[in-house]
Amino acid sequence: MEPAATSRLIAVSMEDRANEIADFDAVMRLYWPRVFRFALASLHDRDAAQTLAQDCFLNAYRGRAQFRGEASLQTWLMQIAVNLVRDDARNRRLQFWRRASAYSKHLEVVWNSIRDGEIDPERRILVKEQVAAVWSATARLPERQRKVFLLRYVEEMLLLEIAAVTGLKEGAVKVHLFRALRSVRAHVGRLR
Amino acid sequence: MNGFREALARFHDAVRQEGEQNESPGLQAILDRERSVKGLRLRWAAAAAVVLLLSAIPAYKNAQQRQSEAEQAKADGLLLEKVNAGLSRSVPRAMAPLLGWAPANAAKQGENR
Repeated sequence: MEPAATSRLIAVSMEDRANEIADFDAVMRLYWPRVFRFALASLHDRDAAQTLAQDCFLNAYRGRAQFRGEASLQTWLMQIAVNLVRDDARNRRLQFWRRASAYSKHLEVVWNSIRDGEIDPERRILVKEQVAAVWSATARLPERQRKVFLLRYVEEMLLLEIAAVTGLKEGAVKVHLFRALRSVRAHVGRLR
Repeated sequence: MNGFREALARFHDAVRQEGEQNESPGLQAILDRERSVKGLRLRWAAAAAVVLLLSAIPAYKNAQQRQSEAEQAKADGLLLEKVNAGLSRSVPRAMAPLLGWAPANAAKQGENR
């Protein structure tokens, strides 16, 4: 092959790659908050959530050829995120120091997330207590119940979508959701 | 019941707000991070291999020395056996066929001598 043709091909492939990265960046901008907040609510650790969200999009980019469009892009990304959270939870069982540090950070996350100017100071304290109560209740849930609860009440996904993301049957999703709600309600009620 | 619903709604808003505040770093940044992590892992693997190699050299030398010592001891043993066999002979090897011709007593006497 002629050198000029080779360099033209290289230039085209580099341009293709740049376009591909730009396209994927647009997808990332759209879905990043969703994946990040799911990871944060699951792991209760901002740094770990950031790393997990990055891994999620890296896996998605590498496996983009496997995406056939049968599920929505959001479902596919959330499937990857759910699997990564599950793997992370398994690793954390052996790492008590990470669990301890995550627990100490969780209140800070809750406190930071409530804007001070929005409500009066008295009400603000009540709101913080409410959020902290639900936050710590979700931390105590078993892994399956927690992911179903977060996908329903944070991501506002339908039961069928949750079933697709988690690989559970719709009936099993309902059961896990019911149990999770009962536990969270009991925990929040105890704290009052 | 309403209180619980409100708590759930507040939790939903708080987590969503936290998500909105966190921006995507961009794919290129993630790919760069991955590359640097891989490079770091490779460097650690290379360093571990060098340490392993360095620690294996004395052991290898030691094993070789032990093997050569064993071979030497075996050769020494064989030599000693040969020498002992030579010393315990009653007559020189060249005269050994003559012993067959001598009477039995003479042969014994020769051996005793």
